[in-house]
Amino acid sequence: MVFSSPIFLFLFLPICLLCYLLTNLFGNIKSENICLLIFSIIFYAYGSIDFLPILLGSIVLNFIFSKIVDTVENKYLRSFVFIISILINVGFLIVYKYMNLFTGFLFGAENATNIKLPIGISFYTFQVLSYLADVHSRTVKSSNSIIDFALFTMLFPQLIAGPIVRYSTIELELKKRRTIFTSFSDGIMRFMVGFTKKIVLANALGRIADLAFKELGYYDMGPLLSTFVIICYSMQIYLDFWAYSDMAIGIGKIFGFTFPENFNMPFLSTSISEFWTRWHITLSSFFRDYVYIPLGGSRKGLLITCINLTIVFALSGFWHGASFNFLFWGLYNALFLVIERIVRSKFKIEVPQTIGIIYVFVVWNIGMILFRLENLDQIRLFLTGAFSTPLYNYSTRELVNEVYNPYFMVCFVTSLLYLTPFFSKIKNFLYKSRFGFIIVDILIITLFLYAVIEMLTSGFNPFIYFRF
Amino acid sequence: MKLKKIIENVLLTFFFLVVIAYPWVATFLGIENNLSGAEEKVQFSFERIDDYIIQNFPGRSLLVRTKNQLLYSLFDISPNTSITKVGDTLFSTETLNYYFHKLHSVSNAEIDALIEKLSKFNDICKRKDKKLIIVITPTKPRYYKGILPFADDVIMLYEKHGTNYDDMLPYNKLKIALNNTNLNYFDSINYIDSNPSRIIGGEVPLFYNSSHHWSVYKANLIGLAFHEHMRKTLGIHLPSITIKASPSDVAVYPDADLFNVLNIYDKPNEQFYAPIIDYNNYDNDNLNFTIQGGSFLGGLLLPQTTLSVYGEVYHIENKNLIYNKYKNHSAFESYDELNDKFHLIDHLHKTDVFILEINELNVYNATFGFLDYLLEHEEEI
Repeated sequence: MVFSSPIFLFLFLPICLLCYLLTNLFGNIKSENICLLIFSIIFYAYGSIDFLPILLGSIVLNFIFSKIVDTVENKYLRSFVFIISILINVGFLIVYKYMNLFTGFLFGAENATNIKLPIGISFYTFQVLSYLADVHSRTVKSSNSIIDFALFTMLFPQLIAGPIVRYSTIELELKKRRTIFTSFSDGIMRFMVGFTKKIVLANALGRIADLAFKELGYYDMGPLLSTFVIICYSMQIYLDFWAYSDMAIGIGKIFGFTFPENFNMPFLSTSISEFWTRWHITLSSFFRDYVYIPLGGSRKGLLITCINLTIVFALSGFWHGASFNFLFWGLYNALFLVIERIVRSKFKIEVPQTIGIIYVFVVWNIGMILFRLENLDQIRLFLTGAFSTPLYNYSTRELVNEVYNPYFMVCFVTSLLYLTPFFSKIKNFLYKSRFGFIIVDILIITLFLYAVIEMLTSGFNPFIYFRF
Repeated sequence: MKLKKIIENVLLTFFFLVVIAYPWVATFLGIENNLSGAEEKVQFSFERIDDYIIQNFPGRSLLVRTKNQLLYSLFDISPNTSITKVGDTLFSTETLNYYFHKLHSVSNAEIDALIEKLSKFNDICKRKDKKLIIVITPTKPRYYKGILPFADDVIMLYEKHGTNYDDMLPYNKLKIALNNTNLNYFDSINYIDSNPSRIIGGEVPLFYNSSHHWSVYKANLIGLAFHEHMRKTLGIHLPSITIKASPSDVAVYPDADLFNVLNIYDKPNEQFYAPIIDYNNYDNDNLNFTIQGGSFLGGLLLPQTTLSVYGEVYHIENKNLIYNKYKNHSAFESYDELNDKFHLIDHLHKTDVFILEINELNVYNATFGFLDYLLEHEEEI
């Protein structure tokens, strides 16, 4: 179930809210947690009922592991159990996410396994790994309640696409939280903004990217159109993911949880290393704390730092998808991080902010070609088309018409502005005036209403009954 | 500051709750879902529950019309991807795609196969003392190449590859093939081209901006020529008819069919005309007809003739049968079902004249399988 679907908005959410408010009025924190856990199970089962036993099994197993790791005094036994638990979790991830790729690579596509990917496995596995690591390092105490632990693992707002929440972040809220009107309405506002961003902007950009990549076969677009399409795709990924995080954080707030932010204006970064501290922050910090630093981080000299960065970004790339293009994409990012690290250590260059921003934008967008296109053939076709003289056949023309569509242009320009702090500045400015906040609220409400209508009607493109 | 926050919280929460409660409110208020156009009917299933909810969403028509009107008024674009808006003129996107060979370019082999089937059926008709007449009908893009912004590019692209775009058009291929046979056909495209001042000129357009099909009035004028053709080639008696155009505030169906499918609150902004048809006395041959064709052909069939002059008529329009002097219609899934329910083969047996339409863009799928059915049941006709 996705947040931007009618079943979530009009059925799941109202019923869940109603039940939660009732338990909030008449029950205690335990009953609230049980209520949320039941709805989280329903949420997951709706999209992936076959994999529900795996998730529930993983919860029970990891709960037991965490208790052993936490309570056993013997240092070696603790570490042994911890390593076993990590290997089992990573093993699950490898089997379900990468086995098809590996067997296809080793034995040919026709002999590859055909294992289905459980929804959200990358996110909940990482969440559990961070929990086990924190318990092992005594950063947190293991949970005494399997309900709380289960809720931490599968709390529905962040179950499918993050943010990756650490146990320490919501530990207290699992035990004691107050659902107050202010956080309730702040959550609603955050959800509405995210929902609108996803439905109106990300989907509009996605239509262009899909038209170019799926339907046209990306040939003969010429340099301008190819560049434009890549920028659209890159912005779609950003807005889509950011919007999802907004909605997750918003729903979390509605139920009294404070999830970490996942994005912080990444396109204002002046280097790729800075970019990764602002983009998918919870994933970056996971890799930083649980892979990069344990490997030695930047403490063991330039060469080891560069190797560590390469390992981390290769893993990060592979985490994004079970395909080699993601590995190359991770390595591509690592390359720039390594270059930046070397340049910074050898030369004291102050890059002007604008140049830095442009550099990041260009590097990131080129990287998106690797992110989107799955194999070398596709990349070759795309680049050949990008560096050819455009031949506007009927299909390409269709893309051009879509791009020149005034509605799309409004969406595109708004999306571009979203890469900057433009809207937050406007919002802050209006909030300072006496009634400016009403303008902001009415705007958010109106756009949310439009987004809801768009969600319900975008697929309605009826034909007249053609009778040639 | 505190008051500000309270107002904001109440406003947002209230509104949000209203939105998520909207389907229940719309059900309570009984807002109807009257929308124009054909869409796939989603059956309830777990896999397609979202689609099912969307399609049966209470008050959906209000939302659709409001959004479509917004897009139409603010951005001057078609809010329906099935319809392409060029200036003020609407086109069916699918038709444009066919016309510019994006969806299906007809091969010579397909033309040959069609001609072979038609010739075979024509021979059957001759043996059984029945008549066959084929009607070729046009599509809108043919007459609007000048305003379609991408047409020149497409045509140039063909030329770049040493191919003449016109030669690739199914109509031209079909004409060449038909001219090498003795099949009886009426070519409305040729008639229009030969009578531009009568058909393309004048107050009433051949195609309204709002329509996919040709205007009823102009189609009726072409229908006169079709009558004349039938009279000459089939030797049947038909009435003398005069047709006048009378300005009308409301479009005669299907003169605004595309505009209606936009599902907006606006009315089409153009002057419509309704045909006023006068008949003289006529002899009644009372011949039975089987007709296969859609709304283009429908425009050529003048109502008084079909209602009073013809005997029993089965008009098959894609997956619909219109019968009982055009008073009833029934949808069907297969021709066998049609036979079971409406004794199609008995009617074919009684039929004196077969009229089959070939629309220029539907050559690859002409008659929607009906010709195959006829050939399969040769003995029973």
